Amino acid sequence: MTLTVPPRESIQPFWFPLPPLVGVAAPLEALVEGESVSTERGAFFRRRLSLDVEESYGTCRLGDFLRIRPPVAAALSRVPELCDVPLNSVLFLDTETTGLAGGTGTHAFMVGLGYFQRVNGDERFTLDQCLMRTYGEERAMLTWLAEHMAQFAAIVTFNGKSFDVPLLQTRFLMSRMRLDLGEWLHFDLLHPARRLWRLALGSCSLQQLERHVLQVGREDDIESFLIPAIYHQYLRNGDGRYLARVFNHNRADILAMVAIASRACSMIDESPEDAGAPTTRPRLSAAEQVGLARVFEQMESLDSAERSYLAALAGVLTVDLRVRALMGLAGILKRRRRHDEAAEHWQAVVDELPAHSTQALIELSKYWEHRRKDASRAYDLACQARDCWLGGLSRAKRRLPGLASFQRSPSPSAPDDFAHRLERLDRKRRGLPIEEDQAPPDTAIGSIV
Amino acid sequence: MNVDQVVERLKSDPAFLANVTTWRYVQPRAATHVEWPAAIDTRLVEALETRGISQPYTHQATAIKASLAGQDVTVVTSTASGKTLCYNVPVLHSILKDSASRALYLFPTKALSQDQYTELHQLINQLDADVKTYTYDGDTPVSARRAIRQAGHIVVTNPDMLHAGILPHHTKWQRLFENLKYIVVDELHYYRGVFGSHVANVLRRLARVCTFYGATPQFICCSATIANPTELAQRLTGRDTLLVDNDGSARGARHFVFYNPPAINQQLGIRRSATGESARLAQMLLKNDVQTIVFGRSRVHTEVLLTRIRQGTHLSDDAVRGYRGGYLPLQRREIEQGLRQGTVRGVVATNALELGIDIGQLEAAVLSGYPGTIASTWQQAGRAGRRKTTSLAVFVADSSALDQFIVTHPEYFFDRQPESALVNPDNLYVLMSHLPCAAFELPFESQERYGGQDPATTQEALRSLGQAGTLLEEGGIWHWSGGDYPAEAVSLRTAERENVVIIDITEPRPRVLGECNPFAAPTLVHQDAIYLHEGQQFHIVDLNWEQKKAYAKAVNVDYYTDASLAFNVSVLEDEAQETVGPVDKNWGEVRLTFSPSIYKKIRVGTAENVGWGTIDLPQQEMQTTAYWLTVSEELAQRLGSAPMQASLLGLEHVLGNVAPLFLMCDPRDLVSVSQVKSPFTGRPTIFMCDNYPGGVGHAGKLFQVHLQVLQAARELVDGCACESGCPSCVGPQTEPELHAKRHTIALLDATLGLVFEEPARLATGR
Repeated sequence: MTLTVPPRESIQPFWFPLPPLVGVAAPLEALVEGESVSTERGAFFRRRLSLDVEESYGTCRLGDFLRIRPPVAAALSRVPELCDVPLNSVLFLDTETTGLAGGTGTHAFMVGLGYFQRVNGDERFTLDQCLMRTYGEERAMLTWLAEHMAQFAAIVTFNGKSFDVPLLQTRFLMSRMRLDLGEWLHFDLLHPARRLWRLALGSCSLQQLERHVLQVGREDDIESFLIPAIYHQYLRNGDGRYLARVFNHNRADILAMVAIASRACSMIDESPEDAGAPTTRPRLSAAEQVGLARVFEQMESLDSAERSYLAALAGVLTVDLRVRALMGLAGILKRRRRHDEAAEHWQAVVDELPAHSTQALIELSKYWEHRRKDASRAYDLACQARDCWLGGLSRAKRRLPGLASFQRSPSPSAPDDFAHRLERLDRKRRGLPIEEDQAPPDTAIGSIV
Repeated sequence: MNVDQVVERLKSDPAFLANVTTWRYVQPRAATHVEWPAAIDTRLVEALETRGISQPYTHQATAIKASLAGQDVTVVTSTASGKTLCYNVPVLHSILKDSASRALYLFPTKALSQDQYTELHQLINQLDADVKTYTYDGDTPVSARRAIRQAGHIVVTNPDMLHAGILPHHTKWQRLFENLKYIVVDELHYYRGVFGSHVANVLRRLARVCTFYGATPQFICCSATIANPTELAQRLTGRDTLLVDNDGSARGARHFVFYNPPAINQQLGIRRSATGESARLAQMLLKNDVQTIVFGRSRVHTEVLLTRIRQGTHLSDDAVRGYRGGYLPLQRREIEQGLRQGTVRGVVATNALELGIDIGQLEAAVLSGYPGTIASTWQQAGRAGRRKTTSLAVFVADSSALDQFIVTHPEYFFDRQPESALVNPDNLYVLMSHLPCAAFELPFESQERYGGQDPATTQEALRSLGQAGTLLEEGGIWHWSGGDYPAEAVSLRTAERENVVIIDITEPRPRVLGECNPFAAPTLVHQDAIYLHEGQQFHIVDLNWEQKKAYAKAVNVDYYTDASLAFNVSVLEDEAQETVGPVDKNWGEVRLTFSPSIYKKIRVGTAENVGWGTIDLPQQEMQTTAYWLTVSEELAQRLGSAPMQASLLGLEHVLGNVAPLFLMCDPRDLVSVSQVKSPFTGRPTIFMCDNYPGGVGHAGKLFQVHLQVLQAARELVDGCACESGCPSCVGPQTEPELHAKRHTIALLDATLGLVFEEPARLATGR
């Protein structure tokens, strides 16, 4: 009995007529230079482009990708097997679909494949853009794809793990064909891109990334969300004008993937610049440095992480990122047993950004307890940490009455942790015995590293 | 004292007997066991034996044998007769035989899925075999879903999840569908009316997907007692089914007593309150250590009952509990467990407990007020009834006309069949919602049969969807071509939207008390309402309608609040109109509004009205379709004002009862409203509205069968044995001198063009 579901809405298509274009309607074949490709299951339409590897996309050349060292790609993608894959045998894949939500009724009406290829001795970048002009052409397109894609050892996508690949697998299954894409080595750029750039950019869509990282502004592009409507309209009126622009959109997406992959790999490549990698290292913003440092940390490249944090702190950062950078750097110093330096950075958080210093105060308290053997001072610092946490709580409460929102650091068990720590430090500063198991676990870790 | 002794004492208590209108006794019945069908895997037989089931009941053996022989079955036996075994055995047997084999269990609610999951799990543990069972519903963590799709042998879910979560992604469930052996549909009787019609279409879609994967699963359905279980199963699953009703379970002796509270003022017809009498009865039963369930008619009613019962018993509050929708799942689980273990001695429930939630079997049931239908009365009474010992069910009538009619005409109840559960899978609106979903799942091939539907009808519907732009035909194949995700736009159930959360702010640290649906909220948790939860009163300090939050503080006052809804209909678009004799029939789009208006404060105990307030909330509305019937000015004048009014109300009531027979829908799928002078037509008008947003086509159908419905209405009223009108014809009558029955017949005669010449005859009677 809910409030007004307009009666006929549920059976209306979600898409609306697109804005009319000036000029006259034209068949797709007249607008896009492509060919009809025949297979044993009929024909489909394909545009094949061959690009010079010197061609650039934003600040990157396509050929930069071939200079990536496979171990770097393996580390960034977290797919160790990529170490053994020559980069000129990977396939870039991007689909355009009839809907954005997935499910069995969503078709990949266009599948764009990009790959490096030697043509007459020259390295070229080939782009095959396959289109089913009718639902009936899907089987032909899939047949060709299954055959063609089998030549490659690995695929590179942007969010392909959760979108393009499952979608294609569904299409193959619906056409009663088998192609287990799930078994392939898969470098999904979305996740490394998020790790590197989310702190700097917030959103990490491919368009967002190319605008800010590659300094590309697409001209005459169409919004992704309109693409399903464009295809549905094409099926009904056969006017290829909008659909022709989808070819360019798909082309741009694939080139952006090549460039972003090159850029991301070059950022984390620590090999000396002369090792055959003349990739000009672009200047990174301070925010990018924080993201990069965190990636290095996850890769256990502590030297590089330290360098990036220092570079970040030399630049201009938001409060949030500055706290992250100082805490991150101090964490690395602590792991490398450079406790006094670590303490300086925690102290910097306390001095510069007192409202965000709970975690730093806890770390300082541990430092004074275990390194400097000053339980009194450690106790005072732990008290300050608790007060800071409570202060954060009450600030959060003032913003959101009735809801207890916690500060990022200490865990929800924080009240217990604080009580526990304070009690132990109190006994210690008064010279009372402490039970063995109350030794903080992080001292153990500290002594191993 | 045990139940037998309590029964004996009641039987010899003249004061009690004076108020009893009928006392029915059902003989105990011994269990009929047979051998396990020889084919069953011995590991399974051993596991069942360890769990105390050495031999099956006759109906269990029949159902299992038929299933193993490849037949679809529908089991209809009494409450707690071990229906679950009828499907668990064939399903587990098939998995033990072939570990690739899969089964899908459908339950109407999440709580039931959980319940059955637990039981099944225990049996599997006993088996010590690798059988993986999972519940798959909205609460299933995303991280677990992949494993369930790949490895789950038995997937327990609900129709809504099947509709929106599984079928549209069937390729991810390839393993399940390719190997699907059994589909279990429990609580079949629940799938009726609009919901049932939707579920029938979901099952048609399921059948298409199974065909795609080359699977032909069998159905095993279980139902509570209804008039037409085989027909319902057949219409829902689209296949023939074997009815299994040779109930072999043991049943103790049962007493069913109709109790009419004594009159305290004969002249005014005021009786002692049913609530008070029910509470007193429950206290007596609890005092004698008889585990008792009390059914109230509404949430508020159960809470009042709970308070009253707790006040007069030696038991702790933990041993006497409330149970209704709005309690949080964990709390409900705890109460169910307490009932099974016997630590909870008494429970006061709404019909939330009618469904097969496992609470064990209780010794006594007290039904405070008539539950509304014969089927649900039997189900509530059936909650009491143990295999070996005696049980007692008492129906306590309240002073409403319907209750009084039933309690004074017990044969009306005992001699009639329970109602039929009606569904109409081919209802055009429901169908048009599901065809796009079906095409999304698999393109429609030309001449494909959709369920039992005539392919020509299906093609016509597909063409119309093609014109609307959601489907596209290509070479005789219809493809989904409408954008994102059609299942999202289709809700199987009416009216399930964001609930209002009730937050207890008595303590500085707020806690969530419970929730209630947005339609109940205006009357239940409006500002200044007294909301009862587990017997504790809460004063609603504020209802934030935008955020769907109600803030409550614990209080202790001697009153409760009671709010009412006002219905109104306004016509948006007149689709068709026709004059038939002295009435006009129409159908079209209407806006049905429900507005809470005022609430009353009623003192606990004496039920006197001690104040009132207004409810300041936006009215809720629903756009739907309606059929309406307008009486001509001339006829209204000839009938006269008072007879017109009486006959209009009478006709509204009888139409509400008769129309569902022609629409094959549930009476609750219609809302009827009568207006003596309708703002739209300016004349006496009766509206019959689809109780479903957008309508499901009842109105248009009523427009077509107008005369047949009126003819049936006349037969029903004329054939009723009562004198001047009763609930089974023109509705409960409080003032016999209004002659509602006679006037209604006159109005019907006139509309049917039978006799209507001498208005003078009306004044003197027929």
